[in-house]
Amino acid sequence: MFAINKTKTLIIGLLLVLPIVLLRFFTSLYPMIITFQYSFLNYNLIKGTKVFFAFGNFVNLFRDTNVIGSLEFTFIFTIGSVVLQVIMGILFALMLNVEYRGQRFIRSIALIPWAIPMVVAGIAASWAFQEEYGLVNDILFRVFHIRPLWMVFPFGARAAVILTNVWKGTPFVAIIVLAGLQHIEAEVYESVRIDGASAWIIFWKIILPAIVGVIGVISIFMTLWNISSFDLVYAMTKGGPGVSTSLLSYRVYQEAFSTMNYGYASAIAVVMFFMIAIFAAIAFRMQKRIMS
Amino acid sequence: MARKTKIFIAAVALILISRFIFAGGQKEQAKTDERVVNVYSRHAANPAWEEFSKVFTNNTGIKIIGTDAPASDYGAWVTKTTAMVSSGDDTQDVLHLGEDTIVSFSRAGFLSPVDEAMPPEVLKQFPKAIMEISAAWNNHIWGVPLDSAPFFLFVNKKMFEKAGLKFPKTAEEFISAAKALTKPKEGIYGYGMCAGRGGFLFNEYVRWMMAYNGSYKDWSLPGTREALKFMHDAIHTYGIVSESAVAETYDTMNQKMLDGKFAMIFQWPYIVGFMGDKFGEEFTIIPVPTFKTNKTLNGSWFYSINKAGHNQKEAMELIKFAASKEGQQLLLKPNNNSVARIDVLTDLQTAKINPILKIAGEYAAADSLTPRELDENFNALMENQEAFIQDYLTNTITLDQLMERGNKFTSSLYKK
Repeated sequence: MFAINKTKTLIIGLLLVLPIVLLRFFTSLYPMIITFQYSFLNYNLIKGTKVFFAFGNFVNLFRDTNVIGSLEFTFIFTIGSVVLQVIMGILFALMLNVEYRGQRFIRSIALIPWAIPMVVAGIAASWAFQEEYGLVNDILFRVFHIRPLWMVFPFGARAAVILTNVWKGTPFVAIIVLAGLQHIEAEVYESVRIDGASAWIIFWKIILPAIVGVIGVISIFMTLWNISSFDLVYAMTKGGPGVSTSLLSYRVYQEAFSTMNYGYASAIAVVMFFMIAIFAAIAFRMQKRIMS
Repeated sequence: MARKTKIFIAAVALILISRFIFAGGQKEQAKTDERVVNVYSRHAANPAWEEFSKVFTNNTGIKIIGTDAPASDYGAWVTKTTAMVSSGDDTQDVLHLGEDTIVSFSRAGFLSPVDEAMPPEVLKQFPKAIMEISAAWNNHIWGVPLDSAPFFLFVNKKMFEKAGLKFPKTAEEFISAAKALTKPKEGIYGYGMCAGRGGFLFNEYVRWMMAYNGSYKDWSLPGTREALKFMHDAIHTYGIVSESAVAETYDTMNQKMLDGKFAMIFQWPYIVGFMGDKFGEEFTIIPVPTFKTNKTLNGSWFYSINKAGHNQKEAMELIKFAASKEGQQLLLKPNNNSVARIDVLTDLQTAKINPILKIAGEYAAADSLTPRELDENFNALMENQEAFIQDYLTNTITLDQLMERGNKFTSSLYKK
């Protein structure tokens, strides 16, 4: 009797989760399988080809200077963004953790940059960094009498893209770190202050060890999101000047939607998949070791 | 668990599953006898298009259901239409396509031919160059041109009058006038070059290559090299173009033109809408100065039939109407003061309504207008050539390095 009830419960449970499992299959797993399949084909809609190509696409992409350039900037963009987002996020969280009048209001508006759609942020940023009409240059000119040509040279354009990404992602890191800070009891702060500890000692010996786990996890997620970032570059620079701000995901978009080279685009996507998977595996393993 | 609860849970699960399995791809059925045609076009949000729709419905009994396309972001438009046709989306019957997408989609087999709507007596009313280069392929016609938009040379009349300068007619006069009008400390430049990625630079260098008898498809031509050198010299030698040109988009270039920061720009006719009453008084269009040639681009948009669309017959009726004299006249306003049919262009009434068309006629008469010769390699060429050329314009690579890369890449796409 008990076994029959258990079976019935299981069946009902499976029926209830079936819609979302099917949804997940068709929106995630099935596209992944198809992408893997296409990566082994010479599949070009314009040329009308769809033939088995073995590892040809992979060989070509590692010889393609555009893809190598995109890989390079993806690396720079990810590391630069994550480091700055985490550092700024911690500082911001420490500021939000202090009690003062208007703290609740500041906490609620703090997430606004993160809530803005990335495409909107990208278009706004492309105007903000515009040399003649931009907000950034207006402030710089008033203070330092300089108008850098942000979007003209590779270094400036890369800096503008990374800064915009940092502005966008920092509030999210801050809110997560703040949640970690909230778990440190007030008595702990009081007792170390009584012992005469400086602010730096408090941060280094009390706060940082308490939030290192949170920082580890959020760093991993921010890295994964930044590796696969697409919409900021699409909206802000279209990969230019030259290919200096072209991310790997933007390269996939160009190959798929501009040149309709589905096989090649899929191969780049597969490479991205393995990059992310390997990083995630190593990172979570390290995280486990640190926490233990 | 109570029996009623189990039944309720099972029923909810079944409804969700069946909705998931059977959802999507089903349209609300129109009234039984109502014929409809679904059009994906930037015209759909334009109130001026209502007249066209009304007259078409009155003439044919077919209702137009328009879906707005992202007019201000061409990249997004291309992405959406590509995703639509490549996935076999059957919800749209007629697509509003640019020259590049009609070329790509016709070769990829996403469109139905419109030969039936373009018999010889209709075909001869459209510019031959547009039909041969963009709309025709593999002995079929794949769309009806809706407009013929020259890449005009707009000038700031007041700046020229203040400086006591005549409008340039030759290369030397162009450079000389641009130099005289340039005041870099005030951020004013004689020529506003739009060299940003995403198609803006493509239009710019293709136009200059035409001016020097070069071609973006053949980098072995001397004119191709001369054109690129001129673009670089305009920034770094003559100083008539701002260094920030590679970051320029049409939005920023248009604004700078309106703000009096640029004396001359090449731009599509739509900017006249932003100029408003200032066009004629402060801004005007002048004939293209002769470098090696006096050529400039001529762009077109098309209505084409989505091969996967449900309503093929109704779509063909719309194409026939759009190709007719009446249809083209009604498309004048939605097309931002442009039309493709020659008999409508040269009609005196049309010219009275729209002075831009008169100027377009003058450009045509001077043999300035040339389509961009797009083919199936266009997107690959644009993506890569824009990157090389931006590197050259910012002195990241030399002219010889640019020509080597450009020649190698371009030749690789056309090798047999």
